[in-house]
Amino acid sequence: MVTTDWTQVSYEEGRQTLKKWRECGVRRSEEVVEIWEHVISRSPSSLGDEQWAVLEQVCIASLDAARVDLAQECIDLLHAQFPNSNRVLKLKGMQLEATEHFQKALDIYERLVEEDPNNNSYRKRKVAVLLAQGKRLDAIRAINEYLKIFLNDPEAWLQLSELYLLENDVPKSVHCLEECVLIQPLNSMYFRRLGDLRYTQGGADNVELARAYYERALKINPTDLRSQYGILLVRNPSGLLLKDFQSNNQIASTTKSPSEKKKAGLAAVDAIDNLVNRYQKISPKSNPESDGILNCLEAMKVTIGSK
Amino acid sequence: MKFNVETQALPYSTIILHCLKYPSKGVFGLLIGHKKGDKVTVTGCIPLCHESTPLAPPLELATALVHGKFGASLVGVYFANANPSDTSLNMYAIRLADKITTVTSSPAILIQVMNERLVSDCDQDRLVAFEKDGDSWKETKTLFQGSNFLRALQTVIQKKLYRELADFENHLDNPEADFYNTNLSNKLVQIAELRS
Repeated sequence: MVTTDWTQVSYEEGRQTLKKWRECGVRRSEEVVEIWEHVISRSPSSLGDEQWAVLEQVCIASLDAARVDLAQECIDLLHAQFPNSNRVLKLKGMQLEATEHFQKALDIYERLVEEDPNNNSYRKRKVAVLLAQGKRLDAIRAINEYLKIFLNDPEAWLQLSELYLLENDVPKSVHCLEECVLIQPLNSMYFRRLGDLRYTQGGADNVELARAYYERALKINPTDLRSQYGILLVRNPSGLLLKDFQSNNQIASTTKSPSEKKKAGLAAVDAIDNLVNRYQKISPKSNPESDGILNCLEAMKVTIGSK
Repeated sequence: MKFNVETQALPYSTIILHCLKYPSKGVFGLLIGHKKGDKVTVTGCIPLCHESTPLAPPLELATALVHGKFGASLVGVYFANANPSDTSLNMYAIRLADKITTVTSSPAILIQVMNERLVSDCDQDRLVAFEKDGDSWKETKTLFQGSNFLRALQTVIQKKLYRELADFENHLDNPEADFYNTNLSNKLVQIAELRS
C-alpha cells in the first residue's frame, strides 16, 4: 500500500489533513500525533481559533497512541483557555481511562451526565469504560439503556450489533442493523452487512434475503466490491473457485424456481463483469497478485454462464 | 498428536505488523506452511481482517482464493483479540480453523498473539500455538527463535512498515491493495538479510 510520510508534509497540508480526519471521524491516531509533532506544533497559534479543536483532536489521538505525556500537554493548554469546560473535563476522564484508572474516570462521567443529561458523549464514554474492562454483558446492558433515550444513534446500534455477534447471538445482531437501516436508509454499508449476516446464518431463506440486501447495497453504491462478491457467493458457483467451501448454503440454489435461478445467474454474471473490469484497471506494480484473482473470476464466469 | 510449531521470521513479523497496524482491534489471518511428521513449519501468512467478529462471506472468499493458490499448504489460522488482557480463544477463529481442517483434510493449527507480550522490551515468544485435541483446543509446543530475531523485528517496527501492510478487508475497500503483501515481504527479507 502507498503510504505518506507525515513528517515531511507542508503546514497547510498538515492542517487540511487534520481537518479532514476530524470531520469524517477516521481513527488514525498515530498519524495525527505525527502531523502535530512534526508539522503543526511549530506554530499552533497560526491556526487561530481552529487550534482548540486541533488540540482536542491531538489529545484524543495521543491517548489512543499511548502518548499520555502529549495528552497532558494538550489538556493543560485547553484547561488554561477554558477553565470550566465540561468538554475539557471529559478529556481528563479519557486520560484516566487510558491509564486504567477506570473508577476515577467513571466518577467524572457520572458527574458530567448529571450536569448535562442531554449530552450523549458522556454516556458513551461510560460504555467505553466497561468495554475496556472486558465487561461485555454489562456493556450490552448499558448500550440498551442508552438506546432507550437516544434511539436514533446508528453508531450505538452498530456497536451493540457487534457485541451480540461476540455473544454469538446473530438474530439480535441482525435486529440492531435493521435499526441502522431505518435511521440511515441510504447507507449501503448497513445493507451489505445485513447481507453478510444473513449469509452467515445460512439456510435457503436467509441466503435469499442476503441476495436482496446485496442488490440493494449495489443500487445505492454500484462500485461496492464487497456486495459484488456477495452476489457471487449467494449464487454459489459450483466447480472452480468455491468448490470446497459450499457450506450449508447449497440448498439455496436447488429450491429456487427455474426463472428465479436464471435471474440470479444473470445478476452473478453482471457482478463478475464489474469485478473483472475493476481488476483489469489495477496496475501489477501496486498489486502483483491481481492477475491471479482475475483468472479465478474469468473461470467462474465460464462456469456460471454455461448453466 | 502433539505438534511442534515453528513460525519463520517472515510470517512472524507480518503477524506482529498486522497487530500493530490495528492496535485497537482484533486481527485474523491464514497460515501457509508445511507439515512433516509432528513438525509444522509456518512459512508465510495472509492477513484477512481487523475485526473480532468476521462474517462468513469475506472469510469464505479469501480462504477459497488462498486455498486455490496454495492448496494443502494452507495449515491454519492466526488471530489476536481486541482487548490486551483477553487471552481467550476467539470462537470465530476456531470455526475458521475447523473449516480449514475439513477442506484440507488435515488438522489445522491455531496461533494466538499474546497481546500483553507485544511491548518492545518483552523477550518472550509473542505467539502461542494450539492444536485440536478431541473437542477442545490445547496449547502445543512452539519453537522460538529468540531475542536476536526480535531485534530485527524492532528495526522493522521503527521504520513503521506496518503501515504498508494490507489485509483482505483493505483489498475489498480498495483492490489495489495486495493482501499477499508481496512488496512488503521483499522489504522484510531485505532488512533481515542486512542485519545478519
